[in-house]
Amino acid sequence: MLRAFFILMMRDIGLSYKQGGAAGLVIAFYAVAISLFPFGVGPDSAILARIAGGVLWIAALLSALLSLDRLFQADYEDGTLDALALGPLPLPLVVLAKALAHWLAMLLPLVILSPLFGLMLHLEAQALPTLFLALLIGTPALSLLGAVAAGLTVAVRRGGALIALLVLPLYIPTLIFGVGAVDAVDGLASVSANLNFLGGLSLMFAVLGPLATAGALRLAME
Amino acid sequence: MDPGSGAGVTKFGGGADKSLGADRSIAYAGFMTMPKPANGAAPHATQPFPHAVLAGHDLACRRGDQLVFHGLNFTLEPGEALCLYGPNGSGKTSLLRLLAGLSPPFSGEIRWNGEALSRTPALLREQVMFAGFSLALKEALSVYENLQFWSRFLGDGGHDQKALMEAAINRLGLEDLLAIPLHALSSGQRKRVSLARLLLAPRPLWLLDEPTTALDRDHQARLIDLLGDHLAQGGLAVLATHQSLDLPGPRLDLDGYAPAFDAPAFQSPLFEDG
Repeated sequence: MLRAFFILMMRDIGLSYKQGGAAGLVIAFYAVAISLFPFGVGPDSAILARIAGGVLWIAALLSALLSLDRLFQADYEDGTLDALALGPLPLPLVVLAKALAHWLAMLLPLVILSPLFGLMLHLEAQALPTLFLALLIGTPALSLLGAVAAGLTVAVRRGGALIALLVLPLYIPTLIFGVGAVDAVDGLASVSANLNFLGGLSLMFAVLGPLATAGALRLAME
Repeated sequence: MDPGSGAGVTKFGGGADKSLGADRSIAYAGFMTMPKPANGAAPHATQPFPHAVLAGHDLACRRGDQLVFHGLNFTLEPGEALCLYGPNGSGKTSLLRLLAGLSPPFSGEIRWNGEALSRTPALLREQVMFAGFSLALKEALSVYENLQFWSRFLGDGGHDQKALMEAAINRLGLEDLLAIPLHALSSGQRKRVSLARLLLAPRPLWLLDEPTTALDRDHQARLIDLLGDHLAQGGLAVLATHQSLDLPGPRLDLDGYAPAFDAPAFQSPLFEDG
């Protein structure tokens, strides 16, 4: 069962970098969206440094959205989902494997690149490790929650906008604690408390997300 | 039996009551290596499936607000294929999805060896190979990559996946197509790749939705051979088709089970405001 989980995850990661996969698009979008801020806000390094944490987090949320609509839809349309449901892996684990693949292929590269973009926005050097850690711990929740919305809209054509409406409000707790951790580096709040909450959110959605998504997919397959 | 069960069915087996649930636990324990047939057939063709009976009792299926069929009964013994006939929209595909456990019947019961599918939804999950209208293949991957994924994903560790894969490629004549990406194949070639998936894991029940569509005459014959071998080793198959295929087993014309407008099912509370 673990083997099937791993194989499905690797296939999804592979497909995201093949023709029609969205990984390159997501990474490029992240870079372009962040680069817009210095143009919009002006080159004042104090202002940029103040908003850098929020900018990087919001750019990550929007990049995650970009690829969610095809998370299950491609498999649903070509019949793969039916065959996966009849395989050795229970459907919640199929969902978990696909959500994890989404995170590894699309969001982990963003997390790794984020200190670079933090520097570009004049974020203090001492905040960079915290930014990296916060994104690393917090972004799995984006894939796991996004999977629920993707499952609910799997049969909807052009479900992308609907996913954004469904899922962006649910991203708010992750956003608050993610930016909170970066802002807390100045010593006025606790970094570790914010990181703990981020980790808690990711773990909670790792349990509830796949179960809810599997229910939604089962309804769609009927 | 039930009032709706008279029309269209030529054969009823009485085997639904044979409760052989115990056999399932020793599923592949009784596997023996028989001498390989001279025609180079798939290695798994030498492993008999454990005895299993598929039965449907008084099945009804609803699609949206409409009753598609009702009062459907059948029993399928090992080595038999159930051919489903009927005009478009008569519920052939819907019935296949019910049997795969992908959707629940509106009423009635599906039994595998006497065990009710509604009680254990995962009962058939690893007994079934479902080849639907959609092919479950990825356009961006080559034929080999597609088959390799399913072979690894479906493999249970107890079988020689490499040999199964070679046999699947061989039986559907895919040797020359392996390196070609799927988007460059014709629809008949794609269909063959998707049918090769059936051989990647030995499962007793095949559910096939119009398996001969898009296949040329030579490959239709190969498919019939394949089905014959599957049935000969104690497998079962349910096929939705428009052709008359020469396979042992009952035939079912779903047209005979479409609801009349005064059928009792229409007075169920669910339909009152429709």
